Amino acid sequence: MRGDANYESKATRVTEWGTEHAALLGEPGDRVFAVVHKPRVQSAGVVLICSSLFTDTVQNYRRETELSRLLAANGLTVGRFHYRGMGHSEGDPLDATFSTMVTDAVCMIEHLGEGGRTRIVGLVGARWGALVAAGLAAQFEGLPIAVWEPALTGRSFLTEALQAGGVAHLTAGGRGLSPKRSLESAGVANILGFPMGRALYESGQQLSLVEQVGAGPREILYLASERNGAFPRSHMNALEELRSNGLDVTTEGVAGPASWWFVDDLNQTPLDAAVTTARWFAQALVAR
Amino acid sequence: MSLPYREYPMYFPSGEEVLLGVLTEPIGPSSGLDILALCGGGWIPSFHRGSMWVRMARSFAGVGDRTFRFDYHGVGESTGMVVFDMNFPLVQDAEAALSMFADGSPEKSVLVGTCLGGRTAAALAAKVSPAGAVFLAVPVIGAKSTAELIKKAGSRRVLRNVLKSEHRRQYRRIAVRRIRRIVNSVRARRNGLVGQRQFVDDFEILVRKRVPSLFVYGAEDPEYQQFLDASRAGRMAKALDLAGGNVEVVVVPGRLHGFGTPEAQQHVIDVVRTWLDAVTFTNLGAAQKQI
Repeated sequence: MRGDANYESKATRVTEWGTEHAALLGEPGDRVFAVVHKPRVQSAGVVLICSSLFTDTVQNYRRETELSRLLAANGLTVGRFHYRGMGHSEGDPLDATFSTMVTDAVCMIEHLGEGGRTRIVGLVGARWGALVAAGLAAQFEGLPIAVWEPALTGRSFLTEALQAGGVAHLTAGGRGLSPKRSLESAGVANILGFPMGRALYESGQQLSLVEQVGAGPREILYLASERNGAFPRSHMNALEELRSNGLDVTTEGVAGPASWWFVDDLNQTPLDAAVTTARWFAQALVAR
Repeated sequence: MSLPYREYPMYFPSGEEVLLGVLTEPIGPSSGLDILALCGGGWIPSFHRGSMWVRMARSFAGVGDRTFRFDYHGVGESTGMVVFDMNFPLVQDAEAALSMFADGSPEKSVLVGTCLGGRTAAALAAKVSPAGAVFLAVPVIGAKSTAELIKKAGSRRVLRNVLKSEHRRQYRRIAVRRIRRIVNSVRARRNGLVGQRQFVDDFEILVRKRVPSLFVYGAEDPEYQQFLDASRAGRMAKALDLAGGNVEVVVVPGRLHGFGTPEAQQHVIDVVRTWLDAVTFTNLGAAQKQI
């Protein structure tokens, strides 16, 4: 099996709807792991998926993979990637910030263009990834964006992360510094086995989904899990603000996990977010 | 920037599914040793929690080892659907990964697995005779067999308790879990996967084959208590006795299971490295390690 050429030939697989190609992109030491799904037919454009952080990556990985395959089957090129310092990507996780994540996403879009201009037609972001996608969307006027259970502010997401880490810390006996104390004194917190550096924590404090998305016109698919048949108040408020900013928001209630922080078997089953998002992109493209 | 490794993502078939793995190769001289890293059953893709397998692979490349990590079917980038069950190790996926990565020479490979990955490593090692096997926080006692459970369910104590409302909910939960396990078992057989196995079935074979093995637990892991209980009497105790110096058990402070702290993750990497450096892999033969 040995030999570079042989290895590289195995990085692409042919599927019934096109191809999937996995690669480490960029310069050694700073490479980003990426997967590109291409349709068999002439691509109608590119959709980039920005994933979330920590245990969310585990919770959402299959949904994002399935969404990519559904979109590719609908004639779109789809890119997914691991932020630098995370997953299979290279780099120090403690160097990661919101800006480096947006930069990674921009590099990914450039890669998807293969030297030419990328015809980007949509962005998808789940939880923290919604903030990254929204930060990126600001650079593309009117670009449709789909968000799944979005983090409404960076501060709320990162505070929750510290709380979840704190629960795990106490459950394990509470020895040593809690994640919050560790972040303050050592500049790094353990979030359920994933490191969060001070740079990331600080970079997220002023982020707001509504501000990142900015004013319309823009179409947004807003998927969130419902409680007793309605979105939680925080999401309702965000939706009101987005609409008052002139955005065309479609909402959809989906089955979400009981907890985003603690993974269990049941959390992996609902793929309806992927199906709903693929259908929305298909309709949005036809409407154009 | 010069790195001690090269890395290649690659797709490969496992039955009807296609899995994605990442090969990490040393740029410098090779030790001749291949490491197959197996995740547990917690849906985590092959980078593992906190990118533990990625850090391990890249640091091991610095001393000449090749490492391969991959997503089981239904996980991460791989295709298919998976149901995790400790008694149904994912041998088909692991075997496909090994044959693709180890050039058909499993005797040069060390299988390293966490939790269900450890169960999978044991089942695969029993089948292919690797150079060595590492079991990280692996549960050595599987769930009771269906026959044993039916017998227990029919006992007077259980029947009496079922009538009490305060116990009913708990029994219902146990019943649902058992039914799910039986369904998994039928599905697994239908899909041609290896049948229900207990860890000790595979471990006895490893001992007979003289495959060097390492068990690593956290002192506070429930799996460690299980291991201690099992090693006092019965088949597991006999197998450990027979293995003698061919089996090493390392206990690290705190909790390893779940690999939820950077300390636990680093313990894994350090303990495995120390063991790899110290052990003589008799199965390696001509390709003997040259670190």
